[in-house]
Amino acid sequence: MRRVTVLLCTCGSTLLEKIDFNKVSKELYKNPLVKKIEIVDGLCKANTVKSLSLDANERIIAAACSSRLLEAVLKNLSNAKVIEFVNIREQCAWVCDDKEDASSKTIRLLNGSINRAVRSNPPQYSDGLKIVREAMVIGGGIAGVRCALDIANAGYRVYLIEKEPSIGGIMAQLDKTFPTLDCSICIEGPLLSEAGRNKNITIIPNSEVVGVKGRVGDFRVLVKVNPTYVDPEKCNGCGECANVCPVYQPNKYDVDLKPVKAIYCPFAQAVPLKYVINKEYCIECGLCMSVCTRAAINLEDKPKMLELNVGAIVVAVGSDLFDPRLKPEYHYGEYDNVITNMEFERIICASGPTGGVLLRKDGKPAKRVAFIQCVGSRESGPGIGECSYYCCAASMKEARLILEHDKDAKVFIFYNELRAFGKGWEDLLYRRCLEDGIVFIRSRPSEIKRSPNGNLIVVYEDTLTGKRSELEVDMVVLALGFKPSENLAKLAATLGVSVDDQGFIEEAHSKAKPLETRVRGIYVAGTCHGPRDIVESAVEGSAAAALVISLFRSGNVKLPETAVVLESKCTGCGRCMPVCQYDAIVRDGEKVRVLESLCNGCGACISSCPQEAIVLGDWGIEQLALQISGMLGD
Amino acid sequence: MVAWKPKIIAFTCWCSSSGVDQAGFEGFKYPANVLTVRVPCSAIVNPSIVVKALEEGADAVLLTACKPVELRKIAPSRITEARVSLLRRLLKTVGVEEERVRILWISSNEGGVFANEVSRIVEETERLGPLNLRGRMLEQP
Ligand SMILES: Cc1cc2nc3c(=O)[nH]c(=O)nc-3n(C[C@H](O)[C@H](O)[C@H](O)COP(=O)(O)OP(=O)(O)OC[C@H]3O[C@@H](n4cnc5c(N)ncnc54)[C@H](O)[C@@H]3O)c2cc1C
Ligand code: SF4
Ligand code: SF4
Repeated sequence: MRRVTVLLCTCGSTLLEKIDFNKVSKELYKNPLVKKIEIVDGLCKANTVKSLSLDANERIIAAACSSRLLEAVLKNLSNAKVIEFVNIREQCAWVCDDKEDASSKTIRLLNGSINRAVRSNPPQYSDGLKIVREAMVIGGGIAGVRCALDIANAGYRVYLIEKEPSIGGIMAQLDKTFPTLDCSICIEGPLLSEAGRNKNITIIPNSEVVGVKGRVGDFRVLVKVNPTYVDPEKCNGCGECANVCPVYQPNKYDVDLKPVKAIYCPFAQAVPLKYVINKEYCIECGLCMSVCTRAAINLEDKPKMLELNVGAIVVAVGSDLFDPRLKPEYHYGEYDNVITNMEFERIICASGPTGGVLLRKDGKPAKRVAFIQCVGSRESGPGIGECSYYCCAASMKEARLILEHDKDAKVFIFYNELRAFGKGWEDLLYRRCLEDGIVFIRSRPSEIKRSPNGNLIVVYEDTLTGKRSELEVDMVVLALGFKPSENLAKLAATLGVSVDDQGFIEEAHSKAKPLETRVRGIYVAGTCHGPRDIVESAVEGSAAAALVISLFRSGNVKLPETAVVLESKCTGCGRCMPVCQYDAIVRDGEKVRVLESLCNGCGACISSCPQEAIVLGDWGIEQLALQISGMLGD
Repeated sequence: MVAWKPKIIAFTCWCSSSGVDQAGFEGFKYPANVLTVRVPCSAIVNPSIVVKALEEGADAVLLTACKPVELRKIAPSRITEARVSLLRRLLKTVGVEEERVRILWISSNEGGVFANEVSRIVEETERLGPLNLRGRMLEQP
């Protein structure tokens, strides 16, 4: 029989007057499972523990204070393994007025644990599992680039996976940034080229993650690299090809406003600075091939698959913006001068389609401009229910940019609640806007109409005065909210991370683990887990890098105890699958299997399995039954 | 003769166990006949184990768990809640009062709530009297 040693702690003399230790000891010796009982005066004291000379094979039950205090202390004091902790201080001595009661409760709790311990195994302090000390960052916006740089600068290899031909994300497309109105690409450009130069960073553009296997410390990621028809090793970015290419296409970087050739480089500061072909427009005339002195062009290029082995993954894929066509009352795409704020950023930018002059479609300058806030945010309609965080500040910034270009322009901002909460926003944005004469109107306009002269008429009710009015302007800018797309949902499913009600990636815990996901070893940064601005995205990039680095420096990974399906017992009924809140149980042929990377060891599955085919450490029904009968016995 | 006292088994999940410990730490008192079984999560508690406890002589069984929070989709204690409500209905059909099985939302800092609630539950169970499930089952027609 596997017998146990019970250590009864008097906690100095604290518990002596509350619990009758002689009686407890006498009663417990009646239990044939008890080998030895030691009454000690402080299990948390090094001297006490040493004098006990416990051996590593001894099966110990510690009856003392809260295991949350004691477990950590004891682990450092002795190599003996405690199988069970019984809290006789906070749960017996301190809650009972009567010594008799406290003593009999102590006896019952201990008899339960002694019974249970017969079937329990000593805790395994394993050496842990190996860690591959290389990381993957998915998405090369400001969050992903900041993250990749920080991990790389700590000495680890980073694969930076970017869907587009260049890294940079939204920030590369912006003209100026709030609240300081400094040039966006001048801030981000140097970071992009630093990432391009860094020996520890491998940028893999035009690529996407299509499969993930494994667990924290050891993921195998399948990456699909889409063809660009130009060999990046050979291309030196001279641009001769684009000079001869006869076909134009809209450039995604310029929100389709400024055409480029079918063979193109998305923007001057692109990293990598390589040309690529948009096959949708290419007519395969071969002119580019004839001028490329480095023979870099291959019109037969095919997708490639890479399998990368990494220890940690940071998801920083950003979010899409709301599709304004879903608000037919604003006639975006139908009325010429209703534009999005993203289009505005390109138009007002000196390198944009009009060289930085705010022109209407008919070529006339826009003199009266209205911004409509919360398009696709804070609503129960097709957008998201949340505030999109950046757009009040972005519109105030854009309003000020209009006046910087043209002092005589008139700007109106239709807002719901004006939110200027960030550092410098009140002063540099809101107050300056008021000083500059920008007009704030509290309203969510109901409609945009078109007047015969081509001007736009905003129909609105001022919610401060209750008056309905109309305002005639040259141009309306829609401040779009963030709205995650199918693209994000697909990636989340591939990675096994969950999404929230709005479609953003869900954190493991919004406060305690704000950059972790439900998959250990997969982190998030930036707008892919909810609206935020550049500063916060960059901060999160650095913070996620710190998590990755601390994982890489932590020796080996230790996973929590996870559930295991006994293949011989499982009938494949699948009852356990919907019960698992972490989607950790998957089909495996006829049977099911638990993914250790997702399992949190809650045990919900165990109690749902009609075959008793799932085990989780010592948390079997048998152990619980033994404990209960031990407690309730006479 | 010693007055009869009910025996109550409380399955306490990891988080609410902290709450239970806190009750003692903060000096709250509650009757000694509440015996705790610490489990990683309330959802590990199979309904059959609850029945087992009643059969073995418990007069009531309590599960303490984390309140499923809105906005957080992951909440195994929702499963516990569903199971407990089903079990209560099943037990009722064999004449066991529903109050003998309960779920309590106790978070890790709610020691006082735990002490108050279990004191009330002990009183209510005293009023119900002994369960004697095994005996009752034998008497069933
Ligand atoms: C019009 C407008 C104006 C703004 N003005 C300001 C401002 O002045 N100041 C400010 O602080 N903030 C501003 N913002 C907000 C700011 O742009 C964002 O907070 C910031 O860019 C978010 O950075 P990110 O890295 O999280 O995402 P992004 O910049 O969106 O980058 C994500 C990257 O991931 C890539 N990607 C997407 N899906 C995948 C995939 N499946 N696989 C691989 N790669 C993928 C994308 O191509 C992109 O490169 C503005 C936003 C808009 C729309
Ligand atoms: S409930 Fe049990 S038997 Fe059914 S699939 Fe899950 S592990 Fe297998
Ligand atoms: S223990 Fe919990 S998390 Fe793990 S597989 Fe079972 S239900 Fe899922």
